[in-house]
Amino acid sequence: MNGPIKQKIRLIQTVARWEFNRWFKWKDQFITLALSATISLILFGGQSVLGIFSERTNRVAVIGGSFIGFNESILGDVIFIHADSSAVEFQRIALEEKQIDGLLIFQNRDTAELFVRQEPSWLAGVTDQFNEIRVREILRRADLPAGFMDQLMKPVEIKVNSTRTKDARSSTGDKIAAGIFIGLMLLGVFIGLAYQFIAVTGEKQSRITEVIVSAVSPQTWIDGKIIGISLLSMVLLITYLIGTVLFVFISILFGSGWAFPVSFYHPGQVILLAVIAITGFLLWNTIFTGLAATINDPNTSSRGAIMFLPVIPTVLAAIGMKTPDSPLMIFMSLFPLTSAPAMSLRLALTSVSVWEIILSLIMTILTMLLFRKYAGLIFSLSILMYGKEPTWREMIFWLKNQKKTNY
Amino acid sequence: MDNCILKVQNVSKRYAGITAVDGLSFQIRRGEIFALLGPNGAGKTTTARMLTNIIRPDSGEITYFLDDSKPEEFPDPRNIGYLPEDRGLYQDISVIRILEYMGQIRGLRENQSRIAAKEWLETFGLSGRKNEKLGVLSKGNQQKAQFASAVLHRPKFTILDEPFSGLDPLNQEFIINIIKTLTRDGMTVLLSAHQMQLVEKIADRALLINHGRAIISGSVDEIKKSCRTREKLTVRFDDSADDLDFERHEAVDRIEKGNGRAVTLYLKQNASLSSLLSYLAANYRIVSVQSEPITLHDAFLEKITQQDSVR
Repeated sequence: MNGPIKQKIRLIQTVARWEFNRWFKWKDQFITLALSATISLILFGGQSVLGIFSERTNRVAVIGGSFIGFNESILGDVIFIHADSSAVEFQRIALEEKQIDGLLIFQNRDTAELFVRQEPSWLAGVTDQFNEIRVREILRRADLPAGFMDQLMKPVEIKVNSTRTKDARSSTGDKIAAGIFIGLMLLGVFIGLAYQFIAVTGEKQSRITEVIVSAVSPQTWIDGKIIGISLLSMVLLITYLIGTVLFVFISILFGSGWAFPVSFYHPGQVILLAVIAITGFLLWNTIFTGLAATINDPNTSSRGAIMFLPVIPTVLAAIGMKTPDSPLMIFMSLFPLTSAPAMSLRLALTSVSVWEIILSLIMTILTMLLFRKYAGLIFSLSILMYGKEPTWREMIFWLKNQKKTNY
Repeated sequence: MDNCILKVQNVSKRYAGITAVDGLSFQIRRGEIFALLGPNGAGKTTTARMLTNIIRPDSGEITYFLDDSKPEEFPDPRNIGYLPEDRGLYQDISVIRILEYMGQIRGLRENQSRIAAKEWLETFGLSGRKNEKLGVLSKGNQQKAQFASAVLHRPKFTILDEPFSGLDPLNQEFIINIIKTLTRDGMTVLLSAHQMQLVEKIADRALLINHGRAIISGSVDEIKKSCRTREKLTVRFDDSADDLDFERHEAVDRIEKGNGRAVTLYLKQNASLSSLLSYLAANYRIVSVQSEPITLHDAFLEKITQQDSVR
């Protein structure tokens, strides 16, 4: 590697490291993780602790349960106390004195009467079970052949065989994984965008640009910025991811019933999804860095609305989820600006040929390199335009007349 | 020119129909302090930006001879220092970190940059505040940090655009001494400043520009000699004196009325001082007379006024 290229790479590294260290703070990462753990602890741990204090089992006296063959003592969170019909009055008094929460009297196999002090919340939970017990009792009394009743009550077993998903690609877990990567990519784009806007417009407002561009070329500077802030976004994403895992893990410890997606049985696919997400996020980060250089004050610039652009391909890809092999979805999975979300979804929902994946990645990377060059040009022309934003027409002129543009 | 380090030939730059620099040519010698002077909007900043390769000239040539024999259009930024007029640094970052970064983007290794940053902070008496954020320092101290960031890497050629702005007289004097030391150590300086008395103190040669064009260049003495006036006489008259209109006298180029009964008379280059003094003594009651050569400031005003009146 010759001297000037080595020097350029060293400068890009210096700028990237500066941009990263400028914003990255270990303390903030620990605070984020501690907050995730604390919130989960408060939400689920607190709920669990409160549950111990507020746990209350309903006690219901049952008379005539034998009509439907009911002799269980617990159904759900209700304790049933079986009593004789002579104890009706005694149980009524017990209900009045709040010793029990209800009195259920079966008059026959088909009707029952419930006495309560107020509308019970537990009734819906036990009604279905009473019905099932009643059906079983009727069938039992019908004196059916042995094993017939078991066959009658056995649910239909449906085994799913899909011709399209030989390797069980489109499991719910895979869809969730694809969704996670798309979500992370979007989050990364927005984090990167926020930092680029603050970094670039802040430097313009603080009049730092002229000092820097006298030492490094605008292209070197923008390359360093893209790399530094993209790395920062990825590290922040990893922190958020660890924070989420911590949150879910603590919730599981306290019995939330949540679970981690089980789709990570295919590490190859996970790596591929990560690569697609990273290239897509780098492409958008490159575009936004160039754009940020044209903005003087993000609080007043009308160009701030452009930050929502990456949402469009994601929404389009989500719309096409039901038809992953439609020509539109295939086009979107190859078109660089939409390829990351569309290809991620297709990978989760259908079989995608290798050449499509490679072509999509190559096109995204080439587009990123092209936008990097454009971003460098726009950056070099607009960073010294204090107090005035270049118009769209000016920018298009610069891009069309790169060789003539004598900045 | 012998020992030339920078040659600017017929350089022009236009922005949206406005000519910022118009066929400018000059040369700077190795190791000298060269002052680029001119009123606001004269084209000094545009020239500085072209010299630092931030913007490109529309026409003309800029050639550096930083290494004795090799002419370069785009010199290695490691050999150039630049303190722009429109400047700022990261307000929310510690002074030492900023200087280290500035050294690194100018080609110093991390440890070299750290050592240089510490040395400069010591020079400016800011060692004890190296870990403070730049934004909490006074404007003067921020200016010192700015200055240090421009010369930290010991460049061969440095452009200092308004290095004295925001500094009190004591610190202005301090910066002058530092610039002199740097040039003694081999650095060449292109200096742009509005404080003419300071420029006069340190500049070896100067170029005066207006409307993007060169008006005059040379040593400070040569520039002064090229003026219509050579000396100024500040005369304080008695209260009874009236009709203080001396422009009719052949030795006087122009007059400037001061406080009370004081008048400053600018004498023409070939005027006879004794004849003027005799005239004044014969016609007025004089309280005091003070004679001094014209300053660079006077020369600047004369040249600019002269050029603007021609336009």
